[in-house]
Amino acid sequence: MTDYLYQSFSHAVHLLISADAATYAAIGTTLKVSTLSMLFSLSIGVPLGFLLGHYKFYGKKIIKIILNVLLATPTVVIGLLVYAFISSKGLFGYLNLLFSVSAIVIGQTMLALPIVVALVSNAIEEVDQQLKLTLLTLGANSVQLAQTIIYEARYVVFIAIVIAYSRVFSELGISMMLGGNIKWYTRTIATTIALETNKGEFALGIALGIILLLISLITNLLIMFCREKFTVN
Amino acid sequence: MLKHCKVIKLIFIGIYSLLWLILTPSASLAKTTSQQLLIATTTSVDNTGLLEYLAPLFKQDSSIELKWVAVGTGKALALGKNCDVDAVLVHSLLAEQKFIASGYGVERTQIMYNDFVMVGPPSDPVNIRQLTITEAFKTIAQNQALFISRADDSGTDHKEKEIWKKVQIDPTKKSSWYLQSGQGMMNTLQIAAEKKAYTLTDRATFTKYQSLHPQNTPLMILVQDNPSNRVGQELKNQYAIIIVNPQYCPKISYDSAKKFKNWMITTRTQNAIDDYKILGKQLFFSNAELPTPTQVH
Amino acid sequence: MTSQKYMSTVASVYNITDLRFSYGKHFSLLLDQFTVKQGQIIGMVGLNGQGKSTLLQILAFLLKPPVGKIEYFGELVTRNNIDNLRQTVALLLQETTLLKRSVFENVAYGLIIRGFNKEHIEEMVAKTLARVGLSIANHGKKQSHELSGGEMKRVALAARIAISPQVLLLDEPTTSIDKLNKDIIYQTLVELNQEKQTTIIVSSHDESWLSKFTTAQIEL
Repeated sequence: MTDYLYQSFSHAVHLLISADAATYAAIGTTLKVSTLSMLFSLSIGVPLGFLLGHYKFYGKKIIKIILNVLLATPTVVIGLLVYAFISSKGLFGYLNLLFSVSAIVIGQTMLALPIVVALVSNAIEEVDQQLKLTLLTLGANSVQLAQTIIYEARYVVFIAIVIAYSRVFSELGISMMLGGNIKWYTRTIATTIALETNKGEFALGIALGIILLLISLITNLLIMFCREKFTVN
Repeated sequence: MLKHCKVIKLIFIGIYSLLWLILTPSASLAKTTSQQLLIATTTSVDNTGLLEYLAPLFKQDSSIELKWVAVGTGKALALGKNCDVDAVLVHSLLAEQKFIASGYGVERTQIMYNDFVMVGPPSDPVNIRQLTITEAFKTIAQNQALFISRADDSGTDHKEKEIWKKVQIDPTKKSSWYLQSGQGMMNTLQIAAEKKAYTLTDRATFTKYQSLHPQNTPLMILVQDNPSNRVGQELKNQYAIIIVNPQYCPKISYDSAKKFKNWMITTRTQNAIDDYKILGKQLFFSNAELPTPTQVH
Repeated sequence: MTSQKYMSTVASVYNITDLRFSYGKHFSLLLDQFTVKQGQIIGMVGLNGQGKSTLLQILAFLLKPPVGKIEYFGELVTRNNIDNLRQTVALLLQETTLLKRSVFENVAYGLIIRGFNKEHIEEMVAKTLARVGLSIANHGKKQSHELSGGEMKRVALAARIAISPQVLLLDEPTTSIDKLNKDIIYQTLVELNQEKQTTIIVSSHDESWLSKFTTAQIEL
């Protein structure tokens, strides 16, 4: 059993060093989809999270419950819902998005969005109520208020980035459903592992899994470095 | 302080954009342009690597790039119905006929075949070796021997259900001996091996499975069509291409699909299919009805 | 104490009439007439719950009373100009909240959002820190959570002085502050008032402290 793992490990190294084209294509696609969905979910989710956390309004509790439900949605379900819209017969079928990288990004953004919104809104609520008043006493207008409060809660924004990224990076259901696992184009590391495992190529599956973890490690280190640089705590 | 933020974000974006440009082939990824063809096929075809072998040949002859999604037969036909692919390559006659009758597909063309086999543990607990397939199924049901079904609407699953229908047994109620995996062929074989159960499989996947377990194969072929007569009907696994109906789905690349279909039945391609071997064993047998000379129309 | 004659020629910073503010069923603030002249340092005393904080927030234009007329430097305060007028009044809240940043960045915040240039900001922060008895060299880079209670209060005060407000309001600045810091605070206020004629209103329980530097008193 141990040399089975050793075999996988050396296979992983070999794949990386020999610049195996299919593997690198999968790596590229994985990075592409996860980074794009992260960027989109952050740029939409952080402001939304702020609005949800900062303001009191009628129906706030209901929205929070809906948010929690969305957090637990299986990826296949998200994939199916997006499929319904972008399939040829769907509302946005004319955009020809299905089985493309863009389709995966849409699905993964839907996946990451509730995470970002939930984390950010919680953090904003936690932020000292006095802070808002303090900023007003210093003359901040509402835009400056929002920016400063979000910046004060930046620690949590980083956590949101890390958590959302890991959810998205190795996900399978959406990539399969919306990307189609087409070699060279929409095949990610995760879908390649699923494919190879289904073909019985376990050692290759583990090798790719090791590569996946490696990339995840590097990315997390980068994020941590960024965090260290400019958060207090 | 906010300046830091922007700088680091830009670095990230920079790195990833660079990786993007370097690592992935260009070409748009949308479903079809005039030089691309998207088909839905089954996992059994994809897992053997046949399409990877044929696609470059097709591109050479026609300048069309073949792309495919590999899903179960049921899903492949569903994608065709939804106009998400241009053609399907599947292996379930009854489902195909229904698909065409409903107006979703046209020009069904048979391409190649191989066969299904019944595999099980070498100990063969209820002695189905040397029986015909219908007798084997009956024996298994009567003795309640462990049997793993794919139960995933795949071509293999359809074939299995056809045989049950022939012997007028419905095993799908909850039972202790008929286990439904809902998974692909390789996984189902693993389960059968673990549980020392019988299962129906296509020969190609089983060949692959055997190559992964060179010593002490936990499963062996127990029932198959008479090998001297490869055209035995009961376990024949016939593959066919169906073009998605352009009247129902006006936006599909009908021309490219037609070219592909015609190319698949040329003598040259049919020979190429026969030449495709894994571990020295031929996986598919060409049987297009009217092989035509090597011209792509 | 200045003479009546002099008082009448100095500008009225606040001229408030018929102020009514209520909060729930139990609390209400009633003020028939309240005038503050420029350059005054006014102490505010009274028991807890009588409305000192509320009045200060109203004077800081953070709360708008439903009833009452407020004139600020002769201009009637309405919904339209209240945001602009707020820029010239600084309130130091009872509970000190600093941003999770360095001392420098905290003091500079008000100037940054007003769009001053880098050099001006550096100059002002250095000057203002010096006013409250801190030095930019020693304290500028310290993070806000590294400071003592008294230091935090002084940094918060500096942040408000840095924007050169017309009016400086302080809500119970001496709560849980030791004597040394209390003295630094009132000396800073006196200097500020002398140099810039900043109008100052301070509320506190410590009446003997207030008497050291305030020129008038109001009791709620």
